[in-house]
Amino acid sequence: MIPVIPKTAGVRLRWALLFFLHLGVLPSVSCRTGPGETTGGGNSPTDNLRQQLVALKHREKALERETALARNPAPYLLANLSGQSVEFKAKGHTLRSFKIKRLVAGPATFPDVALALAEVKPIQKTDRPRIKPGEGEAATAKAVEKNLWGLDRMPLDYDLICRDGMILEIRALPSEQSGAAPVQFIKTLYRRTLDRYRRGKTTDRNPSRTIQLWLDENDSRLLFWSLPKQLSIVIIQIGKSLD
Amino acid sequence: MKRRRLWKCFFIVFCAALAPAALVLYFQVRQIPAAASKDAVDPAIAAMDEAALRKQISLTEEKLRRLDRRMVQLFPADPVVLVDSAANQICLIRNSKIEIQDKCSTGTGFELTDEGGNRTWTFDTPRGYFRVTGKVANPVWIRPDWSFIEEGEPIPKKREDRVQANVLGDYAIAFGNGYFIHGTLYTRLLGTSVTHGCIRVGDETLKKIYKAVRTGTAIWIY
Repeated sequence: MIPVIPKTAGVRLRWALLFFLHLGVLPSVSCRTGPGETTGGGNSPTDNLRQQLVALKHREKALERETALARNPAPYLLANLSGQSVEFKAKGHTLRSFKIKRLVAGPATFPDVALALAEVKPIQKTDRPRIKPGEGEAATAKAVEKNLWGLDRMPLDYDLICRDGMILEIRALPSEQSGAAPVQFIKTLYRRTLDRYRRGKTTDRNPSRTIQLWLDENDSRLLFWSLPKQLSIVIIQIGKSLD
Repeated sequence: MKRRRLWKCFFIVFCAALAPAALVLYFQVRQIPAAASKDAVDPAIAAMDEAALRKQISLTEEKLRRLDRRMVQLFPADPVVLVDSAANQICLIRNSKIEIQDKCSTGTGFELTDEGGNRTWTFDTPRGYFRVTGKVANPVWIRPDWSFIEEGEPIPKKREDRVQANVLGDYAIAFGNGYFIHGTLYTRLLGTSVTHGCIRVGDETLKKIYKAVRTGTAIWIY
């Protein structure tokens, strides 16, 4: 229903109504279907069965890939784009699980093989605290109390650069505990704008070889903290595309 | 008065123009690759009738169940040690069930450089997959160079001068490169990151883990 602005309403009220109309209309225009939702309806039962089988085949393929990787005891990272999750696993056992809050990916089809992590590149490097010779263990304990190093000091934004050139950009969105809704909104806006600015400055990156995963800031730090030197990354996308 | 009204107008126009931009950025749609090749239905599937599709679905579901079972079976039934270095928690898992769970202490992540600036040590607990390489009861600590440098003491030349007893607790479990899971005198610090890379555990928990593991037991640190 389109609200009608009465002619008798004051100029101020008209402006206010127009402004709120803006707020109401835009999100509904810009939000599209979410994960798992299917567009279009009215398919025949055979078409539905066909779609179900295709989805099952994708899942089978993904599971086969993961099983092959899980035979090796080394931990691996499973980025399930359709399931909107990132799991840090070993031998099929989930050690840590993170929710993908937002996903931006290039128009590439993802590689069917496991990617080997070559380098973890933080956007902003945090320096480790240094102990001076002779300070002793007591000084170290004091420094620990001051929380000079730990999860809170881990970078929020970083790139996981794989050997074949594929890049997983991990970016952080404010956590729900980081403040009231308006504060989170402003923080989110700031981080996305900052990321756009950074992307604008980076020219050497191939967008079709880049996937950007936005996690909660706590998850982003925790993932960075957990990363071993050698890591395999599997990207799976089960079923239909989300657009 | 006119000026004030002008400012008000300007503010409203500014908000009206900025809000859509901000909202578009905020609610920006996730973009997933079109995955055209993945969405394209396999010709074999496209040619199937309803009965054939149902049969195929049933077969694929059965295969998925088998794969799921296989995946679960990949995790060792033998005891394994998991160390959550962020939460400073250690647990022993046997037959996919947590048998022991307790707090521990892991590396500070601090850096130490010697006076000459030639050598640097990072006191991190390594992350990844490891295996138990040895077990020692009543261990003694052979103090490495960094321990002397940290305390501002001269580095001894004789090995005997490096030996320190009763600091590693009753047991030590080696997992390579000089790293151990061992006991501690500083039990009040358990649950915090205070070590030089080793994993410190309370006496009771250490005893249980020591008895449960053997050489080759898997350790995952994350």
